[in-house]
Amino acid sequence: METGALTNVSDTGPIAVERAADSRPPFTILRQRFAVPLAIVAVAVAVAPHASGALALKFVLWISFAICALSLNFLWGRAGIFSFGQNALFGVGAYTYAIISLNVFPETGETMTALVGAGLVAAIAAAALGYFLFYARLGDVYLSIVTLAVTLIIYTILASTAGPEYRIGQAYLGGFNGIPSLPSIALPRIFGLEGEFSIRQMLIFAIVLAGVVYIVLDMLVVGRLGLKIAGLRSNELRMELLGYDVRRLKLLVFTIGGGIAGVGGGLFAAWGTFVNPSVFSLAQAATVVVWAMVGGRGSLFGAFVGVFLVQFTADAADLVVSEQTPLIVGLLLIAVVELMPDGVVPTLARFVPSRAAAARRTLPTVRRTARHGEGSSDRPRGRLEVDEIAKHFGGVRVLRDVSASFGDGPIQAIIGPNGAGKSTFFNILTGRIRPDAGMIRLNGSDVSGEPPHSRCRNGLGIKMQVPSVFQDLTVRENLSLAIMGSSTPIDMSEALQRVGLQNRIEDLAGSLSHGEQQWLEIALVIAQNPSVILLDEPGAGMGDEDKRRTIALIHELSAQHTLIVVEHDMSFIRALHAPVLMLHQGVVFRSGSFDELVRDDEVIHAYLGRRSHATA
Amino acid sequence: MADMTSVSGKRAVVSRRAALKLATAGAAVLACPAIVRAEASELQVASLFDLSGNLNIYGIQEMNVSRYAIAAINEAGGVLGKKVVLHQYDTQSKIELYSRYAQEVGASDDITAVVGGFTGASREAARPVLSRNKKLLFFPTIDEGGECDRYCFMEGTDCVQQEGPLLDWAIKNGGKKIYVVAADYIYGHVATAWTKALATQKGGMVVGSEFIPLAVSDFAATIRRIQGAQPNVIMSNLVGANHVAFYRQFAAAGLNKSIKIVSPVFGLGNEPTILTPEEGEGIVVAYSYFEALDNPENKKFLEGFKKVYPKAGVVTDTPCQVWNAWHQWKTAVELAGSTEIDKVVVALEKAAPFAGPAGTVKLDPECHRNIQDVHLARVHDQKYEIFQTFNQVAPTREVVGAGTCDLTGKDANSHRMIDPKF
Amino acid sequence: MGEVADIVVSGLATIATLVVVSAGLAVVFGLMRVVNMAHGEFLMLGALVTTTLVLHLHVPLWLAMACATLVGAAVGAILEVVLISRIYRHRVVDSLLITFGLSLVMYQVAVDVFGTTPPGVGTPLGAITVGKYSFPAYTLVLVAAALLMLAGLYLLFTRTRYGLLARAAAQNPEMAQALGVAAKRINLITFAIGCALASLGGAIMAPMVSVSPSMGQEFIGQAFMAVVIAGPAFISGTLLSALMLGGVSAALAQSATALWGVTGLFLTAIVVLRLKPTGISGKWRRGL
Repeated sequence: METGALTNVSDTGPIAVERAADSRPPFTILRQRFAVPLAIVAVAVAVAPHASGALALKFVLWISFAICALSLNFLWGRAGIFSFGQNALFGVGAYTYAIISLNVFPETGETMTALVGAGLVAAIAAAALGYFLFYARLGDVYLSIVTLAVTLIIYTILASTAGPEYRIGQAYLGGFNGIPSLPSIALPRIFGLEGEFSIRQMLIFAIVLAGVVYIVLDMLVVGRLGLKIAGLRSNELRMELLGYDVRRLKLLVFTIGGGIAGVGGGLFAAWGTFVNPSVFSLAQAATVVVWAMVGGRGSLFGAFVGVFLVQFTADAADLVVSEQTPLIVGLLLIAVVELMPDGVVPTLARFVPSRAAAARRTLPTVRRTARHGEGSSDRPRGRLEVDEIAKHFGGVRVLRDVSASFGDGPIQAIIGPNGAGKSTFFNILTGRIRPDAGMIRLNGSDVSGEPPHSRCRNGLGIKMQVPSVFQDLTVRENLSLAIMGSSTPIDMSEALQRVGLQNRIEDLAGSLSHGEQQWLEIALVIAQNPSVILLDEPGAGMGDEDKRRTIALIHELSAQHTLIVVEHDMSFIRALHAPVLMLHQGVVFRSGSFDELVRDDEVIHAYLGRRSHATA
Repeated sequence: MADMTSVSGKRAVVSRRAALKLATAGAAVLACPAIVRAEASELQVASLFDLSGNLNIYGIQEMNVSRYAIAAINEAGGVLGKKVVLHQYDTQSKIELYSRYAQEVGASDDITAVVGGFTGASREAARPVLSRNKKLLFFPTIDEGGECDRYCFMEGTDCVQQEGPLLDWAIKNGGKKIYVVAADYIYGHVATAWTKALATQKGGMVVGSEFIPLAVSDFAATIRRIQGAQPNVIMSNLVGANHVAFYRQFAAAGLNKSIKIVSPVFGLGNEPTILTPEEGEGIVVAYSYFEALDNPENKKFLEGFKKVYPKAGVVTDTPCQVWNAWHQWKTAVELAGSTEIDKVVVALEKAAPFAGPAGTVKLDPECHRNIQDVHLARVHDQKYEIFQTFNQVAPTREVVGAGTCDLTGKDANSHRMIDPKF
Repeated sequence: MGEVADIVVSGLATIATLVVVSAGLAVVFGLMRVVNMAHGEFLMLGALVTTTLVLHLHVPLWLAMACATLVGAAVGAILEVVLISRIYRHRVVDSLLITFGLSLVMYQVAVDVFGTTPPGVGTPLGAITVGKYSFPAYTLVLVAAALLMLAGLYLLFTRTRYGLLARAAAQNPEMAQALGVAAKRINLITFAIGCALASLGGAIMAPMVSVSPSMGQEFIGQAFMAVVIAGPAFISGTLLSALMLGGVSAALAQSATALWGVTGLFLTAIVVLRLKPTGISGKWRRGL
């Protein structure tokens, strides 16, 4: 796999040491999981009033930064979305706070509306940006560059709003100078605390706010959404093939991240009582990424560690060797990337005894257990029909006119020599490629224009040639995702029993052998209970024993599903005892039983390029 | 020379305490709650300047003069018989640090006065915070006017004090048609409004104006438009390292031979040495201080300064205003007999003129700005040649399109900046 | 007539500037998939070395530019061996971060050595007048330099052994290594070439702009946009993207304001990426 290729290379760093299911009631789990964060908040709040003014100021600033870093850790470390412009949403939040508070505070004496507004407006901005990013299907690096471009554009434009015509209500945007004299945190009068908070009160507020944000994010990450996000990060393609609309998922995640960054921005504006465009600069964009990297981007707690470490170093460096801050921060960054590429918290976590790690258990993610084989024995056999499919790439016509109908029999095999168009045909069936002409019907409905995830939701199951499972999730989590993605799933243990993996349920999918991963993938497909299953070279890379088991499995499955198998291996095809369709030079060359085809001279000529006198 | 070690960094004290607290965890904190009070026999003041980052060429010299001034004051007996301690903050060319350190200063019980800032943006980040916490701010740089804050005193010349003489000279020696190029931030916009108003008054005509974002260094389009408008004079309010490229590209197109350039901001840094002699030749500037000024105070000031800072480079207008600021503060505190802020403000407004290296400066109480000499100089061979002097030019109390500021009358309790309307 | 010539020439200058400041980044990103965030600092290095040689050692300008290029290559080579070569097998984003750290270090070192506003060199060759408009003759040199750079790169990567090996290693690293290509050495040369080009770019720009340690920051944003939307064919793609971005930016700056020029560049980049997510040359059949 090409390093740094512009495809969906997932950054496979382990994010959770262990995720075992739990039979304890959810509340107990919650209590245990959040005991430590809550304790930290309580201690911090108790200590806060005794901190010096300067220290309290510093910590409020760091907390606002940490909330921004938290949003990037969530987006990047958890969902695999590297936004290089997360500071733009932080800045949107800061400016929103400024504009709303200047207009509202004189009337209401509180700035909570401004803070909430900061989060909301940033979330909306994130949603708009995310729609553009994800529905255009931009690759990793491009995505980060576009987010960077966005923050630079905002910086350039805002820096030029110096004229008096640039105002929103009472707030003059001020261009490069920014907006000064903002009111800081002030609660509504009903809380009994009049006026703006003192520095120490702001510190307590900031600690509580950070605690709330952290806990909310942690709960999201641990629940069903968290599992989907983990799947997204681990293997986006497989998520699509399980029926998830990954674009919508990414958009949701990005919006949440944006809202959180916006809240951080609002706190930042309240702290400084001042905002200016430098929050949108390239330097600030990179700094946010540095915080996430140093702390460990897979770790939510790492956001705090990263911010505190980097900012402390920057401040301390200035005292030791004055005016050399960029140098020292630069060296710190280089050192972290070279020596601790996963970040501080995950690297240190490796030294923590596994008991503590095991304490971080997940909530049970699949409450609903599907009824066994729900409805699958009564439903009619799945059908897939293609009419006059044609596809060309550049000047090459890969498929010229392919028509076929699958579903009369339980299994159908597709073969063809190199260049016949098998892969292209497969990709058209799955929906990854659109045909130039022709139609595809799944169980009677026209799905020609539908993307893969929508076909998979409607009864198509797809198993790729290279096993495509969620490597860094457990077998159980793999199947949970499959079950959650289908409207008619079957029971997890049944799916596992069919492929013989029930004893590996708590193991990481990445620890399975190649053959076992193939079966896991089949289990994922089966669990969704599709009516038609496409298998791309299911025997690839397997030894004879495994191939026999796979063939037996295919026969078993054919009782309830229609299977379409694309294969190279002739002995595999023969053992299927199924009708064979042969593609050659972009058309259906022959169709019939395996024995018929194998005796056909034309078939042998197509494969070998010459007439053969021998029979198989 | 004075004992330079009397200057301390308050931040060092804070961070030592911070390290202590962090090291001994929450419980130990309860044992040492309050800020350690400085001795009452010393007066605490602060300076906020950019010692690192892009603007440090301005900030370093300002801080040098600030230290030098405090040392000189202490050597002469201090203020009210007490030693003055200067807390130095490096704002790293980041405006948000002005806001943050202003908050720290504001939270301090002991610091009473600040001389700081370079750009108007930095001033506006710090002033509201300092003012709210009743700390005096003296701002040394030239600026666009509009400041109307009881606790803020503007040392540098304003648009009228500079652009007035510049335009007079330009129209007489260059011609009536003026093209304005300005940096696209608040100073640039307001200064341009002043140029238009003043030019009309003096019989000139602005034939075009442009605002250039601070990040831009490609002036080809601007130069083309200038050539289309065929002005006699360029009034330049360009600021920052990128904008120096304008003068280079202007000369490269051969325009510096036929069109005169006047500027109230050129030379705040070391622009004459950045540009080649050919590129800078003939640019006319207006400041109240040049090293070449011939008066006894300036001789003494420069001699002493160069001894302590031999490698510091040319002293420009802004650092000299820092000197003026501290001395005007000292005079006022001694007149008031206390550092209590409202008393000092009254004393500043009443005080006698101060004779410094830039000549005599006298505070105009209504606008909190100084009446001071303004000299016109041209750049020759990367140095300044003074060729005309205007004595005791009055600052303006007016804000373009928005009335006046009268801090002894209607605005006596004002703490704001008046936004111009144009 | 003069005005048209002036507009055309300054438009070409904007495009040429973009080519000259992006070429190095295009090579490194296009062949090695390394995002060199210190590219701007190499620009700055080239400019500072040039002006220092001219002002302090009285070296002729053109020779100083050549020296600056060599210095850039040397520094780039050292950094590649010490820092960058370790992270090739890491994620793309690691190269971005390590080079960002590097850019901070280089910036500060430059400030310590040169100060924040060192003296510059003037623009040579005087002005050309057409009608009532004149523009610097050096602008034409800039345009010529951009074309020569691209032509030189094309020849390098199609006619030399190194070029062939570098392209092969970029397209299929494992295969290339299996065939005996010394990947390490190729990568070292490629990175050094990229840094040399960056330094040359800075040297060429030095007589036209104000040279300071922060000048790299001003160009890095545009350089990035140009390179990323260029797509996989890094020579012709970069030329096209420079034409597009530079053209739009110049047109807007000329007809509206300088602000629109800057904004227009970024907006165009976003629009192009929206329409062609893998870059301008994403679907092209040509490799370069």
